[in-house]
Amino acid sequence: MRKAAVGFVVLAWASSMLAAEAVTQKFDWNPVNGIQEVHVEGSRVVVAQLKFDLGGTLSSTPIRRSSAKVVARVDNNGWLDQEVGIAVVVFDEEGNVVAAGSGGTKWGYLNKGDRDTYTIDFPYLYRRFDHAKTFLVTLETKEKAGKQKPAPKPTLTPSP
Amino acid sequence: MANRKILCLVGSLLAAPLWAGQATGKFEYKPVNGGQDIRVESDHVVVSRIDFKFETTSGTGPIRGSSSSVEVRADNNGGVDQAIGIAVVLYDEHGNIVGAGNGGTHVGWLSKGERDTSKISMSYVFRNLDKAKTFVVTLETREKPKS
Repeated sequence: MRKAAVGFVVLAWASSMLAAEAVTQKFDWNPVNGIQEVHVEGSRVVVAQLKFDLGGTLSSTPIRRSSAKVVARVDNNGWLDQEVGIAVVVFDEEGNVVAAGSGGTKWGYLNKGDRDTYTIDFPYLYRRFDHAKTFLVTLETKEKAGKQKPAPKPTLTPSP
Repeated sequence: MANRKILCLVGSLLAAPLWAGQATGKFEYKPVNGGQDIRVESDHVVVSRIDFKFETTSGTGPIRGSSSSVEVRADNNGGVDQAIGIAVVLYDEHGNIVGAGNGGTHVGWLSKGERDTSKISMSYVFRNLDKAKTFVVTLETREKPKS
């Protein structure tokens, strides 16, 4: 009985670890009007499109932040609600990072069958964004944990 | 004379991007008590230390963002004020990204001789940060223009 309980705990732990999945793919930088179709898929969730914006800064002000960003469109084609995280890292031809960041689900889940967009800002490292040659996209997914069924109430047996 | 002016203008336009310096370093992930000494230098600005503050779980309740972050220390050892940008990207042993972000100067400049730290959030891709094996740091610098 004790062994079975330990086995159950180990199994539950292992399944919770397996529930998080990550996929990474590399692409050549080839956007048209800032938009590039991609396909990065994990757990039937797909990063399908990236919309890059090289942004700009407020010149002649002391603010150094840029409005550079990428908007990732994500489709949940599966049957389970998912937490989603997306990292986009852009490189120049020498392998220097010219933009990097992450975005994803802030609240709740990307529901099954739904589509959403996530903005990834590049406010601080942007000055050589126009030298982009390749980029990596990582998609992290974690499925919504199933509802725990309440334990059945004990059946009262009549006392003899 | 007109040709010389045009040449001068073209020259200054070509020279403008050179103000922005850049350096990248790749490191094994080997922090001690969460911190690791590194060296990435551009225009006498040095990223000299990185502190990792990782959580592999999301926030409480329905909040999915993590409080994971790295804190990067930059020293301006030069004689010119600089605006800086720093990117940190962490990889697992297979080359998958397990964390990525950027930080740097919000307002003004990192003054000559000064030291500052930048916090880089890794709020949305964080679930595999405990599998980090290597990381890349890119430092971007831009001199304060002479008025």
